[in-house]
Amino acid sequence: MFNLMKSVRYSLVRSKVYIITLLSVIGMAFLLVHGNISDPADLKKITGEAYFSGFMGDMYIMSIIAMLILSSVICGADAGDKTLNYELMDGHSRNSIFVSRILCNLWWSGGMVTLLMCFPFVLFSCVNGVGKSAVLRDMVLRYVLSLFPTFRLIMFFGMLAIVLRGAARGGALSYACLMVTIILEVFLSFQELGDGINYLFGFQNGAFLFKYNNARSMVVEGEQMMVTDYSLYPNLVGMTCLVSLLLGALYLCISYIVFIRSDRD
Amino acid sequence: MSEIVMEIQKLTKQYGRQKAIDDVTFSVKKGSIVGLIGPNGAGKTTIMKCLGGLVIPTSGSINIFGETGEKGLNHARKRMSFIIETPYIKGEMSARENLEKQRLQKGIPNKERVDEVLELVHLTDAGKKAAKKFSLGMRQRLGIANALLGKPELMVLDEPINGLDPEGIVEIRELLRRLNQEENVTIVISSHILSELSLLCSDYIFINHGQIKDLLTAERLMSESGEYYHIHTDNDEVAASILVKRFAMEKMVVLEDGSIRIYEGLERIREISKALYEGGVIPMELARNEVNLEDYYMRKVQLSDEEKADKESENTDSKKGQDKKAKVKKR
Repeated sequence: MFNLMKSVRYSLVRSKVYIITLLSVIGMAFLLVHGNISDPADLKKITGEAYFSGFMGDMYIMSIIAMLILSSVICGADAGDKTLNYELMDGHSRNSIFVSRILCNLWWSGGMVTLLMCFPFVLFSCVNGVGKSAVLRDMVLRYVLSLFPTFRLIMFFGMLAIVLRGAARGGALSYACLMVTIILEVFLSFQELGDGINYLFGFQNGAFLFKYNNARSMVVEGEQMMVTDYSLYPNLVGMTCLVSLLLGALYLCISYIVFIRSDRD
Repeated sequence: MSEIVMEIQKLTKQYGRQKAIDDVTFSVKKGSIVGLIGPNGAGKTTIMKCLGGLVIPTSGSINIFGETGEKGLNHARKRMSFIIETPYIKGEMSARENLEKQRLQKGIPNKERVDEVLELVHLTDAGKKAAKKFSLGMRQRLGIANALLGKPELMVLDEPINGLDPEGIVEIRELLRRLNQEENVTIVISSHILSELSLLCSDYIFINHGQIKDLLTAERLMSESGEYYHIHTDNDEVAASILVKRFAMEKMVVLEDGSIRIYEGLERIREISKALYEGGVIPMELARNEVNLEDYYMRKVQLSDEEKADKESENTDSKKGQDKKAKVKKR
């Protein structure tokens, strides 16, 4: 299994897809931040905390695109070019091939999301400071919680690529699903669905974790800063974990059944 | 007695109602080169895919190097290599990178092995060129390099010389022969270029409609196939009916151009010629030839096609009869 993971890593780091995806999302993140400030001088005012509360939710949605591309490539490309066939013919069991793909998907897609989300935060914190109103424990909790919907989404994109046996096919369907859910989410937001809407879609759940309520500017100890209400409530934490793990496990099971049972022609 | 490295027993693969292979049984001796011969869709690739674990057989058993079952076969496959349909190539990588990836995948610790096989298939000069820009021959050679990387004891090759130029074909043939003779590598190979197989194989398996039609060694092919008469007349249809009615010819094939080949009763050729003449048929060509692998294959395939057509027409007739009976009963 480790040989397979080494082999996947070898081809992934040599693939242009990884670099292009990473650079594109970094570019989009730059545009996002740049587009939200009227005066370039304000860039100096964006502390780590301000970035976290102001941009992290949007950044999460952007990194989903990167997650989608990578998951499709890791789980689907090797089916398209018969790499999986030759792994089987090399004497690797279907179980070890499946597990290696899932672990690689989690490591590389999850890794890229982490990199994309944490890098600007670290950068702004280093340049402009973390910010005085920041509660580190809260930020860590929000970030750790976001790993659950990330897991759910990675499993979903991976499942589509495995079932459709191709990176392009899997990626296209994943993108279509993502767009449909975004439209649905807009429509459903007008309905009285209560809390349920937050867990219905993985991207929405992830982005919601970075939402701060009632952001307002206040002067504390002679310094103007952004203050927000604490918005992580126990139900949100519990349901995020539960729904994400359940759906992630369901997608994993479907992928496994399809992968193990089908002939590879 | 030679050691058996692979044994297939009553292997069947069914897709819906269609049987891709049906009750296939054969064994492969260590050090032999076995040619799997059959038309497109005969079931050759399905057998190879079952060996490679790509296709899960509906029934039957496979024993390779004395190992059976999923775990055992996975273990045995580590001592084998395959080229099935398309060779294993990542288009965006160079030849060396492709082999390096394959080396990691197989868990081969020796890094120099990559250079060794590159040299063996003459791809050392390919440099950093992406494999997708390779010619068909180069791709095929890279596929063979991949297959040789793990020093396999048994190779299963599906059309490995497909698309190669004559020089490339000779090169691969010599390489396979050398591996077989010097390193005692057992090879199971399929190809449509039968003249090539006849230069390489020690055993042949003829397959059609998913069933094995014949198994024979190269020596037996030589002795059994022997000779035939090629007959071309001014009325081949009448000539064929004379041969069947008067001489009860069974080992006879009518070719696409209408000419006839007879494989039995060759000593009665004067009698046959006279009978044709008496039947109002003038022989235009009457030549004695030796059978080669291609002729033998054509005969086997054509006979099995005819058998199948006969069976199908019998089935249709009996079905029609049953339908008729049913209608009568209804009335």
